[in-house]
This record gives sequence, structure tokens and C-alpha cells, in this order.
Amino acid sequence: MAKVYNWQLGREMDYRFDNGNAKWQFAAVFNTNRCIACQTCTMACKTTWTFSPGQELMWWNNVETKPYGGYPQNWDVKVLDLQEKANPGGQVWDRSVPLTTRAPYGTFDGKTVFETADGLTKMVTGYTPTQEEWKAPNIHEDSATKFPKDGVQLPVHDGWFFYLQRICNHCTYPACLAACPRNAIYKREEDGIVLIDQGRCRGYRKCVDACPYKKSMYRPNTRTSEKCIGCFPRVEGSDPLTEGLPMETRCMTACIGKIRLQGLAKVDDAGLWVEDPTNPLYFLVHVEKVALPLYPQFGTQPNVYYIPPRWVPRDYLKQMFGPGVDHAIERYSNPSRELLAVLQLFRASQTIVFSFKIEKGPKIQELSLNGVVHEIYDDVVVGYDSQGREVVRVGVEEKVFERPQQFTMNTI
Amino acid sequence: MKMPAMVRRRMPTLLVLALVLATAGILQLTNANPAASQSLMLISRAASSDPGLDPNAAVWNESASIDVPLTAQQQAYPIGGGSIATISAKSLHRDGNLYVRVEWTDATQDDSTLKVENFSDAVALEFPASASATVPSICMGQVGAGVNIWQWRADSQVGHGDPSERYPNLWVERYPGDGPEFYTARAAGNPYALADGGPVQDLVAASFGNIGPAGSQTVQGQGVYQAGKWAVVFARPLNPGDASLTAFHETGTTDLAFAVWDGSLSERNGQKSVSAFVRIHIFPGDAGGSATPAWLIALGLLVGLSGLGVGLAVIGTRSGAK
Amino acid sequence: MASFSGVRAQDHNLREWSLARVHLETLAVWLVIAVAFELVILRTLTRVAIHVPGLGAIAGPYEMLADAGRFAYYVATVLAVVVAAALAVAAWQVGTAGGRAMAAGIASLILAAALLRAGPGLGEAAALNTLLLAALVLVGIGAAGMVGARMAIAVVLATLTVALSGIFSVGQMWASEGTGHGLSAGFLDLAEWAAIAFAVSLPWTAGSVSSSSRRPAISGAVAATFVMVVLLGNPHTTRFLLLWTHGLTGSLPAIAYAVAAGCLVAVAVSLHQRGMALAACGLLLLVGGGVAMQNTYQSMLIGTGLACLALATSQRQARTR
Ligand code: SF4
Ligand code: SF4
Ligand code: SF4
Repeated sequence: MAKVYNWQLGREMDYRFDNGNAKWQFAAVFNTNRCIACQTCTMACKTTWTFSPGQELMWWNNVETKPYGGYPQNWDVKVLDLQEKANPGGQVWDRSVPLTTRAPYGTFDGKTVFETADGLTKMVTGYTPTQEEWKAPNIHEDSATKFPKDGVQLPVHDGWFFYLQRICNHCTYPACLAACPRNAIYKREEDGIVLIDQGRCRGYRKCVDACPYKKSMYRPNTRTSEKCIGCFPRVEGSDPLTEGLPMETRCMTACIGKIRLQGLAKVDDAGLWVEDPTNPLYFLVHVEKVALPLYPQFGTQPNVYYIPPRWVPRDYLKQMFGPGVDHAIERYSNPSRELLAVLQLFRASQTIVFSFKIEKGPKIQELSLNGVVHEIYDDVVVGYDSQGREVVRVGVEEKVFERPQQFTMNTI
Repeated sequence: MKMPAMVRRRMPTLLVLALVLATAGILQLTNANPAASQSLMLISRAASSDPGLDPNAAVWNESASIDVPLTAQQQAYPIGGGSIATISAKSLHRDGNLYVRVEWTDATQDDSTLKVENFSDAVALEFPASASATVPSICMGQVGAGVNIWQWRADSQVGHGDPSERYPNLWVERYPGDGPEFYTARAAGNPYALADGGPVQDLVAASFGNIGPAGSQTVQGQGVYQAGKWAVVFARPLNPGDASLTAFHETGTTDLAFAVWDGSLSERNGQKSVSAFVRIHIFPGDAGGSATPAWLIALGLLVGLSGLGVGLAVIGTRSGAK
Repeated sequence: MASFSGVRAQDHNLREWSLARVHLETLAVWLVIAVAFELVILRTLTRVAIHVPGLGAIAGPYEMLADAGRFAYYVATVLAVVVAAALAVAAWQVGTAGGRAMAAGIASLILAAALLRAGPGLGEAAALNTLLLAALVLVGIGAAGMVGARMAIAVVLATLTVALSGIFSVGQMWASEGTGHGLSAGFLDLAEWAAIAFAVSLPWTAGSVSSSSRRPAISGAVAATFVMVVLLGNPHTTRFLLLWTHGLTGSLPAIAYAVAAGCLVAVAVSLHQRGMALAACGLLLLVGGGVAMQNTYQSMLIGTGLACLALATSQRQARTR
């Protein structure tokens, strides 16, 4: 066992291998508040990568309804339960430490999925879901906890549900990789994308068992495991469509709700993000801390970050996204001028935005909400590609166009 | 030149040591092991008729079986196994082919890996890939002393086609593409992913996580499940014509170890019941040839030598008592 | 004050046993060195090295070390036969019943090993292994007859260990050749007990550890602690290695092996201090040989170990010319 630094946990942890040599890390921010569960992302992935015989039950991207849904069914509750049993009462956070970039959410005092495993029978605490459990990508769709007669109100809804968009987290410390006795799984140096070598895999399904997010899946007719490939031909800019420029993945670019923003974060040798407040991902995760990792306590240092849903009970959210939830919701509810501008970058461009600049604009609105005065400025955010060239420019105020009279015949 | 007295006195000893070192050097260069293994021996006799791949062929009655104890694999992640206590093995050879038949008790017949939670029953034979000073580490060989593994799998024997073949009511509107390139692992050249790869895979390994398919696949096999037992026959030409694989001779001895996986216990990879190395001795004669004279000679030698020893001892005591 | 009750101090003529005036003790010491090297490098290191991550990076030095271990193995196999032959001559020259029996035993041992190496035909393997086992037992009986009463107990325990595990092994071989039935693995457990009993009784049987020097006690404590630490620290690999290198099943509590190792090392150091290097070599060769019948080389180590122990502590001197 090696010791690696997991900044999401604010501490060192045991991992089977030393920190890898990834220079850049695939990362994305998903804004759960805006998702409409249209599954366009799901179908974008399906029709691109998993439409062949043997992949019928395979959804590398899925959107599930929380709290009851899950693909595979109850995956998160089951892993949480295994962890709780292994370390009863001990899965807690310490928030008394100084909150720095090395420990933005405090320190996790409990045990990770690596630390509760014995290293002999298992490298990672996990379980293998049955085929039955993989059958529905959004089971219990739109099922709320209850339907209060008098409706619901912020800050926390009495009856609630929300959509959780899920892809492989291309973890910094992948559980799938640690579990593979064949060493058939690897993490790429250039973008941190985690791949299963289809030539080496012998279908031991140790990764299926180990991945706490259950994003490694078994294909019965080749008897190997497959997983989200982070659309690497797009991310590396080798797909002809990209014209050589890193491009966001299929599931990201297809998003109807404009909830997704994906890019690459520069990381140092310790796996920490190199400070770069002009990178929209760094800005959202480390400056504003508005986007949080999914179940950070599992310890894999996942790289999809979620802006938590504002209306959901906080204890549920804290279990899911860690102790940074209150801060994130506060930031999202009362966004700074910069945050409001950066949020406009979501789905503004297919080309990956490596840095942004904000051009200040005039104040367009002032409103009072719960006693707080909000001033809204029509700032313009400019996004730049990997070469520093401008790829997108979008203002805070959404432009409205009125259709000329003569086209009314064609309206729906 | 006069030698100092001390050197002269030590001369014979030094000479002997020098001779020993030289002999050892020659042995190492020629890779000739002066010691012999004393482990259990599986004897492979010439069969009177072609055993084929049928585990129930009558010709197998010509061979005596050995029962090899199995234990859990406890050395490397993932450890496990130990549910199957013994495997019984027989061997025959005929027309330049070696046949090994193994049989073990397993309450469940696990021959499908269609579902993610299904694992297959399997058995493997492991031979040192080449002669070496010691047998290779039982766990997948060691650097410079690889192993050749023949693995039979129940699910491979049944075949593992598309789910649509296995679930008659499965309905998919249309597979936009189903050419060979859409079976990713097959397109990546993974022989394990082939639908028609046959039930036995010939593998070579030099260390853990290092197992891979042999360059040529010449091992055949067939298993039957009956009365709560699996019986599996392996067949391969004595000489596979591939230097990386174990070559057998019409007469000779090599090491052999066994591994068994019980699919119902989700055993796969390192989770297996394993044996220590036994030896397999290929004997040119058939079962008709009696072994009696040989062991009589040995017994005679034994009795004679001990008699000699005791006799001399008595004389020694007498003369010593004088 | 050195208590030396179990073993009588010897006339060091013994070192000059004359096989063409070859210095027996020197050869035995060299054999022990070769065995130790082979045991550590070939039988242990190369069996665990593949689990060391990043081995590929040091493949060059590792291969060299493995080759050195292999060379030590070859030296040990050849030297074991030479030492065995020299011991047989020396034992013969002692002239007692025990000495002659032992000489005959060693001769049979070498013969059986040679025949086994020659590649036995059908049905001969079991017989030859039985012969080899009988030869080892004969060496043990002869040795027991040569030494004092207390030392005889040690020799008998060592012989019993070999006999019990050997009977199990040859029983299986006969069964595999169609004669007789396999024996219970209980024999192996008994052999394990006998081996531990041999080791822990050594301070008494081979003379209590000297109190005038603390070195034996300290060495013993270090060895015991080491065994304890590796057994508890990495039980799976260690037990596996024990089985592979020594034929011990590792079924007893770790403390038993630790105490046994401690006693063995303490007594070996003590014997060495008392100028009985040959006896110390005997103990170490028994350790190198292990318990079960694994291969003719290790069987030869057991035979030479017993013979060294007996000759070094024998009650009667050889008649020097
Ligand atoms: S989410 Fe699962 S499959 Fe993806 S990298 Fe992490 S552990 Fe591996
Ligand atoms: S990144 Fe690509 S492969 Fe992964 S879920 Fe999204 S579309 Fe599918
Ligand atoms: S496409 Fe976007 S809005 Fe639609 S389900 Fe996917 S993430 Fe949600």
C-alpha cells in the first residue's frame, strides 16, 4: 500500500499504487438544479458507444431520480452501508481544521473504500450488482418523497426529488484500477481518463465489484468489462470533428438543460489542482466552491463536481456531497458577479474552454430577495481554447429577439 | 618454490572445494539439476486405443489415478479458494499426444457467464515452461522460469454468444452496427473474448498479472458434468513445436500443478484451489508392462545395503571391543 | 560457567578425519554457507520477488542475484554429496556399531538419490523413495547409537520428524502407483510436532546454553523475534514459504516456530563458541533440509546434518592412524 494525498478528504490515504503521472485531469461540473432528466445525454452516449450486441444494459451515462432511483439499483446506499458496517459510527468529517485548497471541505476522519478492505481478498470494499439491478437507468423516475398538500417552499422542500446525472468520474485514485489483478486498467497521463484495456481484460469483474459508483460494466458476449471512455478522441482533439482542438464529450455537448461544463484541470505531482482561477473548473470548484464531488468519502477523488440541488434536505446532501454543501448552496443562491458570468459558459461552446476573462458590463437589474439586495450586471464572459484563442463570448443577460410579424403563420 | 606448511596442509581441502565449484559451474551452464524431486508422481502410460476427448472413454480404465490435495490460494491478491479439497488425475499418451484427465466434486454446474454475477467452473494444469534448477514458484512462475498453463472453462465450452441468442424474448429495435469492430475486446485482439475460442486456452505466465495467451493454441479439451462431478480431458501433442511451451518426451518427467475454480462461489483469477507441484512421468510402455521387477530390485538394494550396514556394524563393535 | 552436560567436549582430532586429509569441518562450513545463500536467494527471494511492485525496473540486478542463488544451489548440491561421502568414511572409521550403521545409511542415501536422479522407470519411484527414507532412518539410528543419552533424544526426535513426514510421502507414492492407500495427513501434523520438539529440547539435549557468554541467548532472542515478526506480519506468505522451503505446514501457533527458531540459533551459536563448529553445522544443515521429503538435495542435507551432529558429539573417538 502506498500513501497518496486526497485533497477532497484533506488527508493522506492508503492506495494500492503511488500517485500516477497524470498532468491534466478530466473534470466536469454538473448543475443538478437545472437538469430536466430528458436523457439526451444518455442517448448521446448510447448512440455513440454502446449500441452493439452485449451492451443492451450498459449506460455509461445515466440520469437517475434521487432518493429512490439508482442505476444499478440502490448502488450508493449499498456502498454506504458496507462502509458503515466496516467502520460503525466512524464515517465523520472534521470541520475544525483550516479550510485550504489542500482540505477545502475539512478532514474526513472515517475510512475510504480502500481502507476498509483487507488487501488480500479485496483491494476495495464493494459488491457486484446482479444483472437484475442493471436493468433500469432511471427506475423510480420522478418519485418524490411525498406530495405535500400545501405545496413546497425553499429553502428545503417538504416533498422532494432531484436528478443525479452520472458518468464515470475518471477518479484520481480509481477503485476500478486498484482492484484489477490483471493491471488491465490504466489512467492516461495526458488527461487522466481511466480506460480498460480491452485486449488485456479477462472479465474477472473485480472493477465492477470495486467501483463505488458502479460505472464499470460487464459485457457478456466478450466476457470483458467496459466503461465510459471519457469520449477521449474528442477530449484529445483527435476526432476529425474537433479539428485538433480538445472538445467536450458527447454527453456534455448534447445537454439540453445546459447543466454541464467539462474541461481539463492541470494537476501537480501530488494530484492537487494547480492554482488557476481563470480556468472555469478551477474557479467553480476551488474559488467559489460551488461544485462538490460525489460521495468524496469513498476516497477515489472523483472528478465530476455537482452544484447541489437547492431544495433538498441538507443532511441528505451532505451525505452525498460532503460537508461543503451549505457553502455551495449559499454561493449558488447568492452568486457573485464572477460566478454569474462563469455560469453562462455552460454549453456555450463545444470546444473545451481552458480559461476565461470577464468584461464588465452595465447594471441591468436590482432586486431584493429575502431582504438581500441583488445587483445584476450584464457582464460578458469570454472563453479561450487550449491555444488561448477566443472561442466564445456570452453575456449574463439573455438576448431576446422578437419574431417579425410575417412569420406568425409558422408558429406552433 | 616451497609452500608454507599451512597451505600444504590445507591443500587437499582447497582442491576439493575448487573441484566442487567447477562442477557447480558446469552444472549451472548446462542447466543440469543434480537433485531429483520427491513429490507425488502421475504416471502416463501408452493407451491401447485413442482416448479422444471423451472423459468417459473406456480406455481411461487403463490408468491409475492420483488424488492431489488442494488448498486455498493464499499468496497473492485476490486470495481465495479452498472449497475443493482434492482433484484426481490420470494421464495417458498415444500417437504423440498427451492426455490428462482430471475429476473433482462440485455440487453446482456453473457453465454460464451471461450475467454479471455468474462465474464459471474451471480447471487448469500448470507446467514449468522449461527445465530449471527448481520448479518455478507455483504462483505463476518467476522471472526466468515461466509456466505454461492450460485452462478449461465450462462457460467457454457452452459458448458465449450474444444475449439475443440466449434470451429468446429479448427485443432490440435495431443494432446500428454489429460488425466485428463493434465487439471491442475482439477487435482489440483479445482471444479470451472470441465466441469460438474453444473451451481450453493455452496460456503462458512469468509472474502475477502477467498471464497471456500462448503464441499457438494447440490444447484441446472437453468436460462433462455428471453425478455432482466434473470430468475434463485435456489433449495436446507432446511436442507443440513452440519453444515457449512445455515440450514432453516419449519418456521423461516434468512438474505439474492443478488449480480449480468453483463458479458458484464467484471464484476467478487468484481465488482458486491450488495444488503443490507433483510430477508427471511419461512412460513409453503400456499398462500391461509390470513394474514388479524394478521395485524388487530397489527393495533388494535396500535390504542388501541395510544388511551390509548392520553386518559391518556388528563386526565393528566386535573389533572395537577388543 | 559453561555447562556441558549433554555433550562431552571432544578431542579435536575429529577435524582431521582423513579422507585424503580433507578437512571435514571446513567443507561442512562451506556447505552451510552455500545452503544459507541458496535458501535465502533461490528458495525464498525469487519466490516472493514477483510480488514486489516495480521489479521490472531492477530486472538486471535481480537476475544477477537470482543467478548467484542458483550457483549457490549447485555448489550446495555437489558439496552435500562430497560432505556426505566424507562423513560416511569418518563414521566408518569410528568403528562402533552406530558409526558403521550410519556409514551404511549414508551410502544408501547417496545411492538412492543417484538412482532417483537417473530417472526411475515405472513403479520404481515409490520403491526408491522408500529406500531413501529407510536410508535416512538408518543414518538416524546409527547417529543415535553414537552419541550420549541426551543427544540421542535430539537425534531420535529429528529422525522421527523425517520418518513421519516421509511415511506420509511414500505412502502417497505407493498409492499413486496402485499399491496401498494414501495415509492420513495427520502424519504431517505429527512430524511438525516432532520438529518443534526437536528444536525446543535442544538447549537441554545438546547442552544448556552457556551462561558465561550472552551471545547465544541474544542470537536466539533475535531469531525468535524475527520469526515472530514475519509470521505475524505476513502470515500468508510466510506460511507458504515455510511449506515450500521446509515442508512445515505452519499449522501451529506462531510462538511455537519462534521459540523453536530461537532455541536452534542459540544452541548453534553456543556449540560454535564451544569449538564444536561441526555440530553447529549439523543443526543448520537440518534446518536447510527441512521436514518433508521434497527433493534428494534436501534429503541429503538432512542426512549430512544428522551425521555431522552425531560425529561431532560422538562418545568415541575415531582411531587415528
Ligand atoms: S468512477 Fe468507477 S469506473 Fe470510473 S474511474 Fe472511478 S472507480 Fe473507475
Ligand atoms: S464521456 Fe463520453 S463515453 Fe463517457 S458517458 Fe459521456 S458520452 Fe459516454
Ligand atoms: S441532457 Fe442535460 S438536462 Fe438532459 S438529462 Fe442529461 S444532463 Fe439532464
